[in-house]
Amino acid sequence: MQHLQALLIAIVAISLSVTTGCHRADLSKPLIVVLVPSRDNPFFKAEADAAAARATAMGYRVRVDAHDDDAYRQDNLIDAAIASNAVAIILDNAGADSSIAAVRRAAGYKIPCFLIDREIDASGIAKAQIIADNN
Amino acid sequence: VGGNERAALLVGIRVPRVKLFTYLVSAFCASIVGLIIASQLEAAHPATGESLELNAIAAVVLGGTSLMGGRGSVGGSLIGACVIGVLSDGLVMLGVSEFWQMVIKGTVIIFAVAVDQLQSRLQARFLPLLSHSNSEVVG
Repeated sequence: MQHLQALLIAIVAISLSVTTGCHRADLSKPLIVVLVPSRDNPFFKAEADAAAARATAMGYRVRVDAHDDDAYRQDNLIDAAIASNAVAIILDNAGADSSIAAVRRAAGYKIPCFLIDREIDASGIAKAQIIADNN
Repeated sequence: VGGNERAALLVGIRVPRVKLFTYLVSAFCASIVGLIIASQLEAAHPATGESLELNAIAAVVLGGTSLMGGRGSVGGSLIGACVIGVLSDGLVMLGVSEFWQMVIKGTVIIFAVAVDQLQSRLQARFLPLLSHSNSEVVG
């Protein structure tokens, strides 16, 4: 049991140090978090890549993640964005009702949320709601 | 109940009652989690938390519970849950892609199971030797 935990902590420490090393170079830039439903869907992949490319070109550090249409996971990802001092969140949300609380929390921390493709059933919380016109 | 249901029954553990109680506690905990998540999201959706099973299993296995049954503790699972929570949030904050997050979590589970198996095999090999030598000393 103790051996297991010691080994586990070692693995976590090694993996964290390895991955941190990859990102250390551009930590001085402000962070924009891009959240999309999934990245194995070509549409959302293209959406995330386009948003990330534009943000990178504008001099931001970008973190892309997927919430898999799970409002709870999206909630955690937005919490992580708040904890990482993101300057903005670009969000293709996981549900018109279930995303309101998360967007409001981010707005409470003065982090503007830009909603793309899908909207939420509340106005005035998100900085912008840019939705798809499927007609 | 342990790894052998029949043996547990034979030593006088009321297996059906223990099982019923376990499932009741599990359901109660799940309902509490549902309440917490619903109040956090201010909304409810049937698909919420669909990916939590992997985390739950990982937490329990990391806590030292044997997948074969027979061994485990609530405290260990709690520690496992903390490790998995830190791992999940840490990977997100480091910007690791969600596909690799799953790979890393899976690797951690496999590693934990491997260590668990190794431990029980070592025990199986050396415990009889130990008791044998003890009995010799006594004899």
